[in-house]
Amino acid sequence: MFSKKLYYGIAALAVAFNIVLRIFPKFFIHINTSERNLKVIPAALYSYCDVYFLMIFIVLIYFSLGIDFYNKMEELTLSIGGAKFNRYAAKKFISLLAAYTPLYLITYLNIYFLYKVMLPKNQVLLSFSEMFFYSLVSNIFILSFALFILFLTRDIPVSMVIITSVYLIEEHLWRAQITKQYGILGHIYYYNDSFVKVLIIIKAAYLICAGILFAITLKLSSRKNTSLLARYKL
Amino acid sequence: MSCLKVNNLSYSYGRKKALEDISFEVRDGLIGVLGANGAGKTTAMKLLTTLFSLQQGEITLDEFDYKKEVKNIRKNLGYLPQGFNTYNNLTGREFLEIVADLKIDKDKNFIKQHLIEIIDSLEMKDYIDNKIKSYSGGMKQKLGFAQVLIGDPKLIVVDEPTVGLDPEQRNMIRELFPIISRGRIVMATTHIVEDIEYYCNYLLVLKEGRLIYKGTKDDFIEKAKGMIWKTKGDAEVFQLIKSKGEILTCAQKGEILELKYISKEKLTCDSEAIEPNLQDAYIYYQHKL
Repeated sequence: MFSKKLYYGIAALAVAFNIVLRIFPKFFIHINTSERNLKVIPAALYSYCDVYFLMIFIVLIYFSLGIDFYNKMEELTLSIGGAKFNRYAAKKFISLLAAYTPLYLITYLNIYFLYKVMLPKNQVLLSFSEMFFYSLVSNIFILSFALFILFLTRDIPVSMVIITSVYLIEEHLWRAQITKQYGILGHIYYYNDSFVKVLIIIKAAYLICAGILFAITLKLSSRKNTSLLARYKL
Repeated sequence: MSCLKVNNLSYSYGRKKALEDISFEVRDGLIGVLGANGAGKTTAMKLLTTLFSLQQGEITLDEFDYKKEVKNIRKNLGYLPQGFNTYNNLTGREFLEIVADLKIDKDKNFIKQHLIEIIDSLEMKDYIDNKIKSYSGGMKQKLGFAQVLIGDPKLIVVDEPTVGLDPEQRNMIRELFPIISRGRIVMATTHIVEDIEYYCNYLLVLKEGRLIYKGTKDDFIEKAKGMIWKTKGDAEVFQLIKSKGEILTCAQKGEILELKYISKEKLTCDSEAIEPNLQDAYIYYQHKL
């Protein structure tokens, strides 16, 4: 299947990337050594693990789950699945997640330990648990948002355009320029002027949003609803 | 014996009414759901298969209510959607295993044995381990019939099973009905009357979202008795019959036209009343109301 081949491709890419990262760390991880006594925000860690890697994984999810909107598998598995939601899609998602997690962890730990080695003695890295919590929230929130978009539109290209525009372009490349104007914090960033407590509250808010999005997605997957796009002939 | 009850079922797409106040009760056997394109057959099937939520009315399958017990209903369903297709790179057996994994909560040996029984009963042994992309239209449809049998469901819904198949493949698919309808309810929608002519016990006929007939096939045909005529004539006779009745068939034999038509009374002196078949009765019903 295409998605299976895509997964092997992504796995090979992740392994190759980690090897190259080990050989040429300075090419990928830039540290400002002139600043002193600074709490270092590991920007490369977020860029690679929480943006690029996650985006590739979302493409894999879109092809694996979205393909069923184009054949009869969604109708079939939904009506015979013996559950209130689409159990088949949920099983597929869990399998993908199980395949993604080790790749994500390997890359995450690789970059983290490279940071540890590369940092000058006068600079301090954020604590591992704090960093990992922020990264986890980013992954959970973006995955819930990506799934919500897919089940709302039931269209792979449209979903891909939306998630790329919102997450990759607006939030990562543009540093949340648009949402910032409305006082909405881009959730993958740290704010040096914020206390940890405030950041945790922000992350908790994103976690709650993720929970709500997952719940709506489950509801959307429970019936063969026509997409909003089709309903309004967009 | 299973029982499917539908009470006052209505469904709308926005302002457009697709189904209006439909009620029926059916038990084990093949139930034919006839209707022209756009009559509401597929909407009815989407409601019966829980793909659409109920807007108005009630449906129950034995003791299970469609509004309250979706999970139990889905455990007892088999569904073959219209224009069935799946992942072409899988083999037929792999596809059946995916469906079995969803439907059956038993060990692998039981599932394996269950699938072998289904494959044998539908005579699919020769090609079940080939990739689906190598299957003909009829073979793919047969695979669809095999998956509906998995888990021994109480209700099977088959939506337009012969669309896009050649006559030989259609015959092959029709012959599966007596196999799959043993000891359960099979609802088969079609606009091709021959699909269900030989094996269906009970008929539901839809027209513009309304149920215009529910009952046995024999009663349905009986009601068209004395309405079907045959005659011979020329172009003038053809025009006369066309203006006053409904022509069913017209065959040219040399200069003469052999006509079969529907009318409450004979339209030419030499017209003879003939025994209607299901197709004649269906057309009679479509034009009667």
